[in-house]
Amino acid sequence: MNNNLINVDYFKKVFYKSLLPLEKINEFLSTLNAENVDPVTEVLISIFNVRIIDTLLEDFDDLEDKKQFLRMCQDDFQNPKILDFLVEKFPGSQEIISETIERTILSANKSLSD
Amino acid sequence: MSAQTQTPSEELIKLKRYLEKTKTDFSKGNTDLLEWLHDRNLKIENLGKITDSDQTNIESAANSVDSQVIEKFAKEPTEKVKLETEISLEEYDAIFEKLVNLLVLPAGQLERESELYLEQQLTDLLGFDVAAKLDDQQLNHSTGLLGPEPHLKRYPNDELKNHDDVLEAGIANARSAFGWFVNHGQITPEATQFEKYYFSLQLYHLETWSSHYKELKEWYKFRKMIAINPMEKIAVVGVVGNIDHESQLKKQFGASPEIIREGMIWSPKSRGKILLMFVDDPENKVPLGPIDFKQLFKQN
Repeated sequence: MNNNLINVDYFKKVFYKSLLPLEKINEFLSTLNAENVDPVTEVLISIFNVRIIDTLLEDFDDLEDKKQFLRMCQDDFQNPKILDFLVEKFPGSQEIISETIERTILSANKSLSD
Repeated sequence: MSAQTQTPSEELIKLKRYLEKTKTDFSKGNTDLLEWLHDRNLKIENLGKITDSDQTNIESAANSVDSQVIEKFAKEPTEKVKLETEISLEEYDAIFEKLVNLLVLPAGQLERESELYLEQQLTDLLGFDVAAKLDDQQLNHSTGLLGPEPHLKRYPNDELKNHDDVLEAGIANARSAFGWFVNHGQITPEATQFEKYYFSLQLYHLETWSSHYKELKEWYKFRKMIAINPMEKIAVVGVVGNIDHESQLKKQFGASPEIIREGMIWSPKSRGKILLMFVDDPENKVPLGPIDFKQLFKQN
């Protein structure tokens, strides 16, 4: 395995940090030029955020529930209560998030090789 | 090409382009939330960013389109343009009510009364002269739909990756109808700004085009204009940078990706409807870029 390239500071402020596949992220970062790791990590987190929230919103039928979820994200994005809220609404939320992250890493890889 | 053979900027550009795509997908899939997100100034991609004290984050944020827009809103109108606004809140509201009502109507030229009223009020509000008619020149439309255009090649071997932002808009194959954006072979900061904030106008439809195209082309080339989006209370100053061949029935004007984005031209509220006027700026004092009327009014 490559050296650990993950700067945890970038990942500690997201509510889904317990679900991050750190090895896979590290593997992805190790394919990049070393000086790019920090800015790429930051963009990668932005992509994770958009993809994860987009996917989760699809599960909400009620617009008010969507807004409540987004309000919680805006108020304190690292609050683990967001994950509790999601799991209560949809028991499979953690799996959805994990799958979304893995798919996003694959797509990010593909976007770099295009 | 493997990732490691790419230069650092290529990697970042590609990944940022992918981010833009995810944002576009998000917008398409959540149209019912866009206005609400906008009202709350909630940008999903910015959630969870590390603290401002982190230098990397500060640099990254400073380079984002949103930050650049905010910076422009904050600085340019106050530093570069001397404002002489003396408009009351009632007048301010009346201007935008008038504009919104005008844009509900079919695209076209303004009635003389509306034209005079808006020229006067917008000139007062903006602090520089705007006009629907300048040097006896008038477009076939002052109001209409402003469609998105791709980036333009500024010089013969220019590529999409050389442009700063909104790379997903692509780049036109042909050069601008006015030629390259270079000055004696050099791409100057001013020329870069011209491409960044350009309008594309359907000048071929002007009544006198066939008989006076040489003079008209010369007069319109890089002529400063302002697009006003009353629904979002944002204006963008740009230059005429291309001539559009399309029919005037579908859309009446075109603009660069930056104008479309920074002017929030296709927001759910705006739907592309704008007022386009000439900027009378013989001393070239009015900077190109967005102007936030809300901030402009607050500052005065």
